[in-house]
Amino acid sequence: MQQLPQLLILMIRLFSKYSASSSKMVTFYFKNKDNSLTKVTTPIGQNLLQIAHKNEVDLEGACEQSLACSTCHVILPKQLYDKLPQPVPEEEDLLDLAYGLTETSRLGCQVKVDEKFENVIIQLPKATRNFYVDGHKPKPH
Amino acid sequence: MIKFGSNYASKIQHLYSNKPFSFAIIGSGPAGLYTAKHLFNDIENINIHVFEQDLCPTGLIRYGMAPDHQRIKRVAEELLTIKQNEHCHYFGGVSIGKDITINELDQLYSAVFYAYGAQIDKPLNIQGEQLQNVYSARQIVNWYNSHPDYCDLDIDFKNKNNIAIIGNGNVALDIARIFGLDQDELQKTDINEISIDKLKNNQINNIVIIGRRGLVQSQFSLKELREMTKLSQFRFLLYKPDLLWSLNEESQTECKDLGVNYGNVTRGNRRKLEFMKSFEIIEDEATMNSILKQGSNGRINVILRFLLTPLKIELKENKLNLKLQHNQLAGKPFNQVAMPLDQQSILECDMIIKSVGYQSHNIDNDIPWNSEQNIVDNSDGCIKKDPTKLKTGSYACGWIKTGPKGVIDSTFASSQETIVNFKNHMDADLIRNVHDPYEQVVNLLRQRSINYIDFKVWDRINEFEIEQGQKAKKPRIKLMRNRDLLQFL
Repeated sequence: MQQLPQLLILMIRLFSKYSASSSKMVTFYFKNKDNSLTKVTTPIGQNLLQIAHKNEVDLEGACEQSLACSTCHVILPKQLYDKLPQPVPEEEDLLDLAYGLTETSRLGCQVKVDEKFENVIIQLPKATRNFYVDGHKPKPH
Repeated sequence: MIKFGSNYASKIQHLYSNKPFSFAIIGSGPAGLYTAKHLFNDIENINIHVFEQDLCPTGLIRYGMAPDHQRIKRVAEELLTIKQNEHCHYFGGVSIGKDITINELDQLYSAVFYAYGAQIDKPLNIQGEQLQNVYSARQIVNWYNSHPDYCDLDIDFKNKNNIAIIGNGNVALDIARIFGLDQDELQKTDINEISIDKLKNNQINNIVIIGRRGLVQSQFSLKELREMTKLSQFRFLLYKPDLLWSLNEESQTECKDLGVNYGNVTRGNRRKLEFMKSFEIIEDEATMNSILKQGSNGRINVILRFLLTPLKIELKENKLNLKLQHNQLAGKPFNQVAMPLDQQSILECDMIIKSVGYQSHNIDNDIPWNSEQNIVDNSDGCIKKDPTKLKTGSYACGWIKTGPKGVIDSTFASSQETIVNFKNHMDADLIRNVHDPYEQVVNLLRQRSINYIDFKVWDRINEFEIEQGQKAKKPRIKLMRNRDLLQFL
């Protein structure tokens, strides 16, 4: 009897492997805060936050994808950023609050991967010395 | 999954695998729990004890974040996954500086992380602050979030038509929004029934939110503002003379795209200004006065006022008279200050809420304190013994490090920076090994007759609250009193 669940698990694994191979996969990299790279291969259609969590990439997702925080802030390569649909105003509002914002910043939970992600590097923002917080007014140079 | 490059976790494990480290964290809010979670992630063979002044963990997640923002509150579950680690202990209801001193912690642990946030209100220091119907934002927020120290707050909304909120940060908007929720919306939150009874069917017509500087310098985020404008019961209004004074050349510069040196500051300003251009405008004083005197047909006018400093509060014929100094902006872009003009006015209202920010305070004379900024004296999270030397083994995370600014994201970022700097100290062999001092701490608390809640007790409380909530179709029903919480011991 004990072998039955194991057999079931094996069947599920085989099935999921088969079904996964029938949907399109894409391979790309996360550049971690310590500059190491994490290679991920994933079916298209998932968002960057989900993929990061499945692959133990250290990306926070404090609000469970409800567009209430910007802890899953990621930086995309410009070429890729330009090809993606524009973020909705609510995502832009949260990017306003993200520290280390760049012109190609997005929220990981709002970006679904597709073929365009093949071989790209998604950068996680670094905790730098001079991160900006709400109300911080930098001096002009 | 293939990892390239350096991997911090395995490096520290390699160097120290057989020698245990023990860390104390003061405060169980976002900064403290985030720090605990990431220390466990990054370093092998460690013990972490989290000390919390309240009985219940998670600090501002439970008692600060708005009760209608339940999704973001779920971050607590993620942060509290640390309790699955047998080397993690929680001491809820223990005040560091009083029940256990900083010196004792320094002796008991390899390192101490200060993450106790900002627990007092920035003072306004004006005459009349102590009058009835004048509250601090902390009182109000803790009241509707069922904090044991504030759930009995003496407050009622009978005949309270006009409310003034001094300060224009996100907390001010949270309070205005909660005050305007209808009964159905209130029932979906975890606000307790006593507070709901007081809030529902209130007679608020106008909420005037007052900022010292101009519109561009206002502190609330567009995210909060946009969310509130989507609720049909609120009508947002601006006052024309405020706008004329607010949008001087310098403030317009603060909204220009000035490149990367300005981070997202100018971008945020620009987008907020653009959004607020769609608000209705009150043309003159006569229109303003008539709006403040009339009912609002079921909607609440949220009037955003700028360039006003409160001078004093007086009670006249059952009304609070808030005397305001009019200001203009002076100084260079990004460093503009409010300069008083030779003009004052009176705002008549029924309730005043002071929401000018929180402040950290020194809980133990042995803490190196920066009294200018009201934070623990630190350099990028490393606490300083004196201006030139670090107090190795002592670190600051979150608001106690940076001052009470920013949202949870910036708290995470600032804590992350501290952890990186701490790990450098570990790599440099500056942190001493200490075996788990759990027994010693428990004995100390027993000797001093201090009741505390651990994670097992918290789990029972949490389960109970959620179970009670499910019966009433609410996220949870919070236990409001310490004696009820302590019954779970």
